[in-house]
Amino acid sequence: MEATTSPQAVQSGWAAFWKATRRALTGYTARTLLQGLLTIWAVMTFTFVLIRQMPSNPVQIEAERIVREELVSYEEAYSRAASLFDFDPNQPIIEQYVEYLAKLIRLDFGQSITSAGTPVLDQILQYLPWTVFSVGLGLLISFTIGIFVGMAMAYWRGGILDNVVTALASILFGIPNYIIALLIILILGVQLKLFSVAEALGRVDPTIEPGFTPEYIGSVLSHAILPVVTYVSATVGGWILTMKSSTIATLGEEYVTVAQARGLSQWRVLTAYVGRNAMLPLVTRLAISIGFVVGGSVIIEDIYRYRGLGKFLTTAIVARDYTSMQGVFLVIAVSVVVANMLADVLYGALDPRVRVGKEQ
Amino acid sequence: MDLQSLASPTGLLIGALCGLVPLVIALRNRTPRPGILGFLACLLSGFACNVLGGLPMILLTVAVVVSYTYTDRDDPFLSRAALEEVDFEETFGAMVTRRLAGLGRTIRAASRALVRNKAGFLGFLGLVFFFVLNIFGPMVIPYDGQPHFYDRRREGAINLFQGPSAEFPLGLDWQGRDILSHIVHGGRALIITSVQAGVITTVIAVILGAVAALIGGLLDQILNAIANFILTIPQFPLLVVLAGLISFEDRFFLAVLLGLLDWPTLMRAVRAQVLSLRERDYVEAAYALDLGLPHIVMREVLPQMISYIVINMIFSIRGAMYAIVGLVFLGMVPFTEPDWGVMIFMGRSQGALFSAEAASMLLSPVIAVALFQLSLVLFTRSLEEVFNPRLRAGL
Amino acid sequence: MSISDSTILSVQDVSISYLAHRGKVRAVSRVSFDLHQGESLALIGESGCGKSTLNLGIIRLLPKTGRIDQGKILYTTRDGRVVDVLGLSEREMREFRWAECAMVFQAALNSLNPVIRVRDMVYDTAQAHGRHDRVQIRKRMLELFRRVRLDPERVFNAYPHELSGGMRQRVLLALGVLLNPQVVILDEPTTAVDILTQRTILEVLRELRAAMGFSIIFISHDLSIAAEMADTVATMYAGEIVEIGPVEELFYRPRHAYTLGLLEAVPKLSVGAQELVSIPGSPPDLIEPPPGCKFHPRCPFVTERCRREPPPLVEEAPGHRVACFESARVLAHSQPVR
Repeated sequence: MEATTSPQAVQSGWAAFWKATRRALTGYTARTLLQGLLTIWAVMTFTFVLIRQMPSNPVQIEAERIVREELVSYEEAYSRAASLFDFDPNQPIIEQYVEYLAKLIRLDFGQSITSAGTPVLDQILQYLPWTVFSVGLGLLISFTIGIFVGMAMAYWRGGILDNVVTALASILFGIPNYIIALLIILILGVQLKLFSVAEALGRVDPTIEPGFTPEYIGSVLSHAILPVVTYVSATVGGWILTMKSSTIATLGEEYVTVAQARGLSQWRVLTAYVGRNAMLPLVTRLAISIGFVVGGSVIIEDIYRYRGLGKFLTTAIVARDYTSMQGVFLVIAVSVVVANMLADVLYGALDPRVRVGKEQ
Repeated sequence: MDLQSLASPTGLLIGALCGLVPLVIALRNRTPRPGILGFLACLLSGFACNVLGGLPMILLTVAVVVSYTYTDRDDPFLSRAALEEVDFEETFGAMVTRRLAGLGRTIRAASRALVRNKAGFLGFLGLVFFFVLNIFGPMVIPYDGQPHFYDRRREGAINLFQGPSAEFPLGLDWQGRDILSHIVHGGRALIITSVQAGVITTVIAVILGAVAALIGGLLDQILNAIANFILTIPQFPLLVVLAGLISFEDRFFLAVLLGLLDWPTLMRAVRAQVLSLRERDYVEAAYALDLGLPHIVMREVLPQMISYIVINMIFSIRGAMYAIVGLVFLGMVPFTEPDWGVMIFMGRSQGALFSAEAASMLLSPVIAVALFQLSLVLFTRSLEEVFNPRLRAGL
Repeated sequence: MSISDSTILSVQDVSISYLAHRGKVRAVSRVSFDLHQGESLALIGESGCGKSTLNLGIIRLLPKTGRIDQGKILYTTRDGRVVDVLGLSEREMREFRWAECAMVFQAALNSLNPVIRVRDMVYDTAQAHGRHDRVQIRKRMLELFRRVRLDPERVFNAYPHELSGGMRQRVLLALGVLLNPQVVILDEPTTAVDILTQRTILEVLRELRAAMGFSIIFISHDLSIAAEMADTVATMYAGEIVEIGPVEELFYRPRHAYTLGLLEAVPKLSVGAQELVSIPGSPPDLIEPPPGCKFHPRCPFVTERCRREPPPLVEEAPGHRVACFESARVLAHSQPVR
């Protein structure tokens, strides 16, 4: 309105600005973001130091390989290995750290040490989709099954479905995922010969040209079956049992009786009154599990020779490829932090009580 | 504890001597049945763990025996008489008997609760089976550790491994060794390390959780930040890195490490529980009475959470075994035979994944691990009943 | 099916039991009463005496372990038909609930779904009974909220946790009469709210009743509220109605030792500081109830006969029925107290 602003106005304008900034920073969203960034940084620093404390280094590992394969002296192998890699093992760790941080700010994950010239980010992006696809699909399927079956079991509690599935779910829940993977291969593949083990391993048939062709997609899907089935069977028991107990607790709530007393249809009571409330605790857990999708399952990918991020990580660890390891840990940390925030947001969206609590 | 010294003939003698105590008391009380059971229990536990098993078992069995004949007529706390009429003075002996009977009743109620849940009882039987297998099995089946290159090779066979036969119920591994003996001898170290890790996890989590909730403030924030931080690092990959860093020749190190990585979940639960318990009247009353922090935690908060904590410990044990076997499976820790994890690793690397003949080599340890873990999980069901006083009372 | 003209609801010889580990719990045994047009009936008794079970039985919402063993619940519809509630199909039952007989639960217990808004619960209720005109529903609900002295717009769009306990109780009350039922069951509507809110709720309830003319079954252990609200009072003990009669009769001339005991346990402002007498002992085990009169182990008037045979419910004064062999002594004892 006024062309001239008095000094007081300017000052109060600044004060208001600072106040707004302070409020924003102390506000819930900002605080969560800041906390998340801090956590990621801490994990990054921790792993940065940690992986460089492991005995041996990429050059030594490569030198040992050359010695084994080409029968040359260790000194010669070492100098050859050192010249292969763009990595100086004698550089002080602080320098390495500062350099890395400087790159990271520009979202540059650096170059892989053992495959010189390949950016780590490119490699991660090459492996990541496979893991996200297989583990994510498994998680989705088992969560969906868990919700519906768990609810049905709670509703018809004590029935045949309840007893059979509870036993089955307990068994599945009790067995580690890699044991399930081995059992699948051993019993279904080797003993019963339901599939050819050699063909089923890997993530895609290497003889098929990649592309959006039916053969390629078919091969991708068929190779994903084993890992996905494994992830589903290893996790579905937990989802089912949790959903069952959560539903039973909700069925005992007064508002369910009141809803029935109001003459609501069984379906409406089960969806809007029982289901929605019973799912609340599971949603948080789902979001947290999503965070660990990226970490994948190192052992499962190893068993099925499914070259996802987990397999990439173990390879990097064995070769002491610091930058690659660092990149994977960073990606996992970011996804966990993001998933936790997602869990908060989701929970807030589903439960109005939490929404209010946060604003206060 | 030297594990090889367990299950010795001397133990049998010790067990028998210990068993006489409940037996004699029972006979004097004219209740022979619990007496005989008590004698057998002492005998077995003495046999299994020498003095370590025999002496504590005397206490437990005597408690049970006493509880059969003890009547609460003199119990000032159970008497229905008016307060003024009760004589609160009791001799030391009377007090000991009363306490023993109380303990005995608890044990009996707990064992009834243990049996009530079928799945849970099945889990319990599974654990007993593994216990017996690991303690007494080695006495019956000697360890077959040396490779057999010539003596067990079949006519014209290329490999040494064999499927199950009458002589070797689980078959032979790739070095011609008896798989059954490896199953019998290979679980002990694994189970002990897992249990150690579970206990360490629980102790850390309970202490930190209670401290964080009761002291609060900056300490609470710091502990929470650390918990968050540990939860953000992917556990298994981190373990793989650490396995490269630390030598796990001593498995106890591994247990400590697993404990250090596993506490945050339970710690948060304990913290939340303590915070909510703090609001409740009786804990506030304890505060008001100025009973002190350790007292409040030990006497008011922990008993409320014991079911949750013990079940969580079982899950920690399970998680630790998952991690240990996984690490061995990936070849990331030094091998010490006999060990189920090593058997799985060797089974896979020696081609058992592709040959039906060799499958037993891999299948046997896989099933052993699966059954043990399954027993643990099922057992938690019974534990829920054992620790739930409402269920235990039979209402 | 015999039922007098003005009777809305006639509970005849109803028994309800629960299956427990130890055996069958007879929570309600052979209860009969009539509820007339516009009448207000209060059920009083200690917790666990079967009051709530009886009411859940009337709308057939017992927990899974509960079962109605015998009896009839006759209900007169608006067009004069008489139906047995226990014989209705699941679908008819659903229509009966709330539209004919609404039950207002304690708001202190989590009676409203915490994750949806009040308005969605209103629409849910209306739609379940075939009323889909949202504008109409909303208008009526806002009007009812105004009648129970709530800020209509705010409450209509609120989540349950945004309302206080007293407000939630009034929301439930308003929601209870939304479909203009003939019978409203109130399960301890004033428990766990402060004394002022209690007054508001009672006033609001009286006004609604005057305007809409529904009958009330009122469960309470607060005798002063029962005295204030009820036309008829029934005392329940161990699953049985032991005494039933007009409110004045029952409160001023109690004929059952248990009713007398309940009355003596209430402090009276008019008398000043006097010693309160509590009933000794605790309610009996319903799996194996004592023989004879179930109250005899706690009864100061007990005789040998009480221990042997159960007393029948007999009418001793007009509309005043009591199940006690020693009712004359009880009546005589109760008189000097006033």
